Amino acid sequence: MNKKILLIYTLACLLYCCILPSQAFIKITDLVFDGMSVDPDEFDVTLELIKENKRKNKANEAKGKVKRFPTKLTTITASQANPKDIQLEVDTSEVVAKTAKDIQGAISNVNFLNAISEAISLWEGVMIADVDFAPLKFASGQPNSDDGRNVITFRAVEGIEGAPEGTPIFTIVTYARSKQVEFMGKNIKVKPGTILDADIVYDPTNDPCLALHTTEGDFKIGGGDIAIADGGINPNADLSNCTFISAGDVTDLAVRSIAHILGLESSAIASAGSASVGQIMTRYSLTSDDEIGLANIYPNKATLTNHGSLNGKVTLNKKPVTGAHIVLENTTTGEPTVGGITDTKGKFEINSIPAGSYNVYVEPLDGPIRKAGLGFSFLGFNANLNFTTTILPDPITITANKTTRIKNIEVKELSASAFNINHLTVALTEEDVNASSGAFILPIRIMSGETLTDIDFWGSNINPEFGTLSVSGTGITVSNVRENKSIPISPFFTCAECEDTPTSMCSRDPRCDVTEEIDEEPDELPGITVDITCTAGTPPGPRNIIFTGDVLDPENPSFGLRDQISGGIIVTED
Amino acid sequence: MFAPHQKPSKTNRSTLNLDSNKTFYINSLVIMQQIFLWLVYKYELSMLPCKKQLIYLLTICYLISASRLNAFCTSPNNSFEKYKAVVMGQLVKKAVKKKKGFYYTEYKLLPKKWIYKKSSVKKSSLLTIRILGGELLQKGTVIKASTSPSYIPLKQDAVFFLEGTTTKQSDIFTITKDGIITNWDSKVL
Repeated sequence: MNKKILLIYTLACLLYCCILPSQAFIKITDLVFDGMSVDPDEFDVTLELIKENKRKNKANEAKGKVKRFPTKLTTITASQANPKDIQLEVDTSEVVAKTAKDIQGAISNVNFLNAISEAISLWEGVMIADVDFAPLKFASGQPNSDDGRNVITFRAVEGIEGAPEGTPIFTIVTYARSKQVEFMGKNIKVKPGTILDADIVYDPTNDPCLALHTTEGDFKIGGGDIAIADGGINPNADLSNCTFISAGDVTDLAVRSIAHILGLESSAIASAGSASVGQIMTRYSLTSDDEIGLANIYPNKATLTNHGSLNGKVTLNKKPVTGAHIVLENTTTGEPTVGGITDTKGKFEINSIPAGSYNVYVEPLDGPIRKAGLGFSFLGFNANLNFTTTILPDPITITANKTTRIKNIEVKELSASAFNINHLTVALTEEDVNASSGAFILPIRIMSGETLTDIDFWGSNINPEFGTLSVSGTGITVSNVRENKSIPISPFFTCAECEDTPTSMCSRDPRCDVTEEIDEEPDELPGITVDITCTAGTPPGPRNIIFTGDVLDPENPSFGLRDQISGGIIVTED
Repeated sequence: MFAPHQKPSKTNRSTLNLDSNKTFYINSLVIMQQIFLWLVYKYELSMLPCKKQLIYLLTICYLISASRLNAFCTSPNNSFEKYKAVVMGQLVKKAVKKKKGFYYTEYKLLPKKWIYKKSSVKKSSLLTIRILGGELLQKGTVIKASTSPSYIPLKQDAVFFLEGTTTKQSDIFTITKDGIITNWDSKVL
């Protein structure tokens, strides 16, 4: 390959900007009542209707009437009907530039196919899950939501209605909501949740300044070779229209999209759930959360010999908590091994957990991944956030081939002294973070033997006087903790027209045009600034950042309260 | 990605406000990128002196900066400018339709307050919103797209961050995954 093109691609892939959430262990779920999906804000109404219907049915029964009203609320989870033979077609048509401004270079058929195959191999390679794809077929024609063909296409798809401008890749999954469905012109009986059709559309020309590429060999930022195989920036493209060039790796994106085809939602663990992390840290590998998630849908009993299960219930004031995030943290390494969320009855069940000792904690979906980020799941966007993180006092033991039961985890209501710790690499308000589903929160990356200085954390009651910041496991220490009263948490400022007069000069600022001055400064919040050191030899992998209260003041008690950023820091390989 | 509580700039221009360190990194990135592209495009590499060392140095610098700058690289432009319009109002109608093999759900948005709009957007009493995917009640199937909002409130006041669609029709909008706020502080808006 031409050397200069290769180097541009190197730049481009480093500028990769990924907007998709990652795969991991939350299933694609839907709550169905009377044959229809339940809207989150209609959930309570639906429960009332069920009660009413039960009363009516009782009355009808007493009167000898046959008519019965629906009373069943069903949670369905999406899955492939034939996980040992998943059919996937790859459309390797060369991408066609829509406009002269599109910068995407061509990706050859063979390299696109290889890139997709590599992503498939990752999922097929999960030993504890029983998933196999049929040999890839070449697709003919465009993808279609109800033709029963799972198609991955790499071409400019003209005008898909409702697809946002600027989105270079999206996944569309069609699944059955009931036992009997009309599909491809036929009435068929299926298991509710069966994925009937799934398509992945790569359309880089939808973002004229993004260039997708395929890659050969290992990809590591900070070390290792990056060999761009194909695609990237068209050498003849006019880049002057782009203020920012970004790029994405086809395999990396396919790993996430194929997860959706398999029925997996986004993870609420930052180290698994952030797409950027997937790119930087775990590219071409899956986290334990991903693997366990897949095994929960398609368990491979032959290899799940040293694995056990955990189930239980989460309550708040003795009432079930929906959408609480349960995390198992390895007691030795501190790694968040797997996470799951509670259903509408507050119950959770996680299977295929490696035997061992784990700390278990329950947290609201208020960070790092926010509930809005779970776009495919009813449970996510109906999640209860009004409670504080609760950790079980003692570690639990997962025993091979056995189910460990936690009868009940009673969480406490959110209080004024509760913590909500945040680390943002981009300054944003809490509301922004909520609205963005936590997608801005990128885990801190640290190498073994490295010290990071001046890392900001902010949030409710995050102050050195209220508690202590630490990192799960061993090997990572937090030092030089100091209060910081002015952590910028909002990027917003305004500029106003200004003209110098003989008596007053405008307040010039490089952020504004020369004819303007700063009219309003961005918000700042107090928090803490720390240094973080990773001891040499610390094994790579994700960890949790934890803020634990230690104030016994009766007026503002924080002792024992905690909040964490699950998977908020990752020890990277050298 | 968006910034729902952003106050519209009086000049309709937005910028990330960064502290000095971050600004330095961003500037470094931009400068290095520009140097690099300038070298590649304006000159043949073979004509440059010490080309191997130069490229190596630039690449290393870039790698270091890029790793530190990942957040910025992956951050959106936190601005209303990425939206066609930001509107407070209610979705009043809903219908699932199909075109070119893909289902989409069409909503009609009744605007109550225009918070921001691009000059190319004409104010209208009823806006058309199209979102990829939908629920086919008769057929018993659900179609979900990774780009679509997880929940779309009907007949409920909300703030909608309207974006353009791939069809690029000026009077048709869409909403992405995080483009709806149902619970906001009206004082800010």
